[in-house]
Amino acid sequence: MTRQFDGRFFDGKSANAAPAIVIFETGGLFIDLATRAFSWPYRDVAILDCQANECRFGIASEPDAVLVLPADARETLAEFSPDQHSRHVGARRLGGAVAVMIAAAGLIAATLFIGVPAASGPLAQATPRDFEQRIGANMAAQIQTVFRRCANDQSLALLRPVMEEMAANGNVGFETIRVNIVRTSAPNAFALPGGQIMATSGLLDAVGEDQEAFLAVMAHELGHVRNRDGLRAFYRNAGLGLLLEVITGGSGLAQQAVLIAGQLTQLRHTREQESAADDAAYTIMEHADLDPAALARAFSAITASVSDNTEGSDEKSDRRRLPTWLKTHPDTKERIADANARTSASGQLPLNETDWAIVRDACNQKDD
Amino acid sequence: MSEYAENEAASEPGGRVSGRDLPVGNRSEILAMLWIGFYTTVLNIFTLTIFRFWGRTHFRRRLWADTYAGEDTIEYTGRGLELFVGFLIAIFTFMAPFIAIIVGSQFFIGPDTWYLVLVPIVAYFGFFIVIGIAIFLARRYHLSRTRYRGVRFAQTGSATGFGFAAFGYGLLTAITFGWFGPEARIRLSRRMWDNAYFGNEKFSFTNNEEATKEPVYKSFALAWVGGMIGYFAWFGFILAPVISASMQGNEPDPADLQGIEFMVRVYASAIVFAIFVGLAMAWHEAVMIRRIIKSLDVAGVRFSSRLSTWDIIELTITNVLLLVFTLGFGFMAVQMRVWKRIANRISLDGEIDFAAIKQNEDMAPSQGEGLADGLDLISNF
Repeated sequence: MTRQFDGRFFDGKSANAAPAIVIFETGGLFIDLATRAFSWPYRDVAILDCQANECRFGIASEPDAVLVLPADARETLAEFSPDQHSRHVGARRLGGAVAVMIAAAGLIAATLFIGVPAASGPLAQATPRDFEQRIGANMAAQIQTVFRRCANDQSLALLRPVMEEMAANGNVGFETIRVNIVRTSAPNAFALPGGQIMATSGLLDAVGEDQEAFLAVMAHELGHVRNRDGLRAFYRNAGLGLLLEVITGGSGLAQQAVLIAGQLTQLRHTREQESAADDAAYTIMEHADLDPAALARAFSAITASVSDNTEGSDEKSDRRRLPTWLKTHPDTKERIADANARTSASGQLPLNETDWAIVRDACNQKDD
Repeated sequence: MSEYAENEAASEPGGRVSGRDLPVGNRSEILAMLWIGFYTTVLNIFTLTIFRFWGRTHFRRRLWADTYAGEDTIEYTGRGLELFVGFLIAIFTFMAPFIAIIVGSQFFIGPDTWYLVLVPIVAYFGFFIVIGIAIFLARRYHLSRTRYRGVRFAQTGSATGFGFAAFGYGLLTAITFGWFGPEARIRLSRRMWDNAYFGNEKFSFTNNEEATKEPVYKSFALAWVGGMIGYFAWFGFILAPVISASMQGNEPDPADLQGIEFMVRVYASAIVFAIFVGLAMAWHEAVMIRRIIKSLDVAGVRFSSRLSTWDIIELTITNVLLLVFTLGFGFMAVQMRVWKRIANRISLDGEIDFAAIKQNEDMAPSQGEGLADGLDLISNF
């Protein structure tokens, strides 16, 4: 059984077309160009493309040669060589490739959500402390371009020795501690790498006259500094960002999905780290002669300040005043109970009333 | 035997064909492209976008195969795997070191040192030069994987030279508030096309009378003024709450620039803005495309274009709507429609001798367009 088609042949050496008579026979295509004739074995023939009225065929041994035949030659090829050229062969090959890609994506996802967070801890521990201090200082400088720093140097000068003494007694691992107060109404505090701590004017407002509650929050942040959580977060985010950038080559739906999932895993880790920071805070407070229950008072004050602020306000300001410091932290009620259970008598507070008033006045209460 | 093949047979042995007998066009169908765009989007999600290299290859293969000159179509011979490998190479040779420098500088240089600022500045300047290099390399790859009548296209020339030129022109364009832009585009097109080949036949980019007659700067003036008005109006609209707060002496509320309400405002107005700017630029865009196409000739045929301002206006409006209504997965259909319109408006003049056009065996680069993909410069073409 044979079938014959009229077609055109390009030899890949010049752009000239040669009229071709092509015969499908057992084993291969017989191509007669009038000036010469040759055979293409079916196993080496590739379908390059099919249009409504024409199909193009090629062969691996002559990569630039193209044979153009009427479109029904494709079905004929499938009949003569079903193992290599039936339609489902191509689909199966693509399906296989996609399966490999999905497996690779799974591997990448595992690296992103398990590998990177797992590596961030040991990596942070292995990082020299002076490197961490530098990156922390750079991050603090960058944050202050976004949030306005309260330019009350006197307040900061009063806080600094207090914080550094707490850090030294509590084995935080960094001698230099820098606290900066930024002007924003949400009660919040966070630790950057290398002993850089940011507190908001909203936090000072929330704790009011309760110096010990403020110091309890600072002790918690010193706990993060001791555990090098800021650097861990930096590595985790940098690792996530880098991998995402590298894999997805920029933007796209998948990247958005991965980012959202990434934030969720980060939240989970942050909760674990928060509990560890609470534990460290209790030790630091104990060394500083502070009552651990002050942390409970701080939690209550922050929660109360958030509810006060949102009372009677519109939806938009509700959103703005979400208690950030509590949102990413473990259950507040549990923490309050835990802190209260540890209560003990506090000693002399490090700042006298006048000095504490100066610290509290760092932002001149301008926000409220 | 078809009419064209008869013509050719009649013109043997030289294989000379008049450009007029080589109608140029594209017969891609929108549904086919929507389908490729759709499955590429879906598979991108499941493969963390790794599939994009294969999706892009499918798109090009279809688009090229639907594009014809005379009886024969052009062919795309690139492969998804090739793009993927090129991308990996680009990551390890360029992107990873670049990110390492930016991140690493944060560890080694403190905030009080003035030269900390220099690191990102130098890195970003370098980055812009690399963008030019990447565009050139991606183009070289496209041409080397494009074939017509069994003969490959190719591009030679210095990618680094192109990178520096593109960077310099970019600076000049910025300094002149965009007014060097059209000249830059013509110069960069010339750099690419003057180095392009079809087999052993070199393309040339000539400032012939037909090409230089195009009112490049007149049309640019309209685009520039329209663009400026549109841009300020758009920003004004987005920032209206902040501006009105400032005018009343209140401190702007950052919450006004967040949330779903704000995003809807931004995206809805962006569509209007895109259409407005598209309209203002339509004339210039048509002029520029005609200017570049009319400058080209290869192997004895000269290219010409009848692309009209109305073509651009119609495409802009319908393509924006197509993107919106397909939630973005119509991006390939959009690119196809632009290509198709440009191709359908091309005509060839002169006489081409196919028998005299030989394969150029020396020009076959092995690398993909990874750098351009890594830098997010790929438009699927």
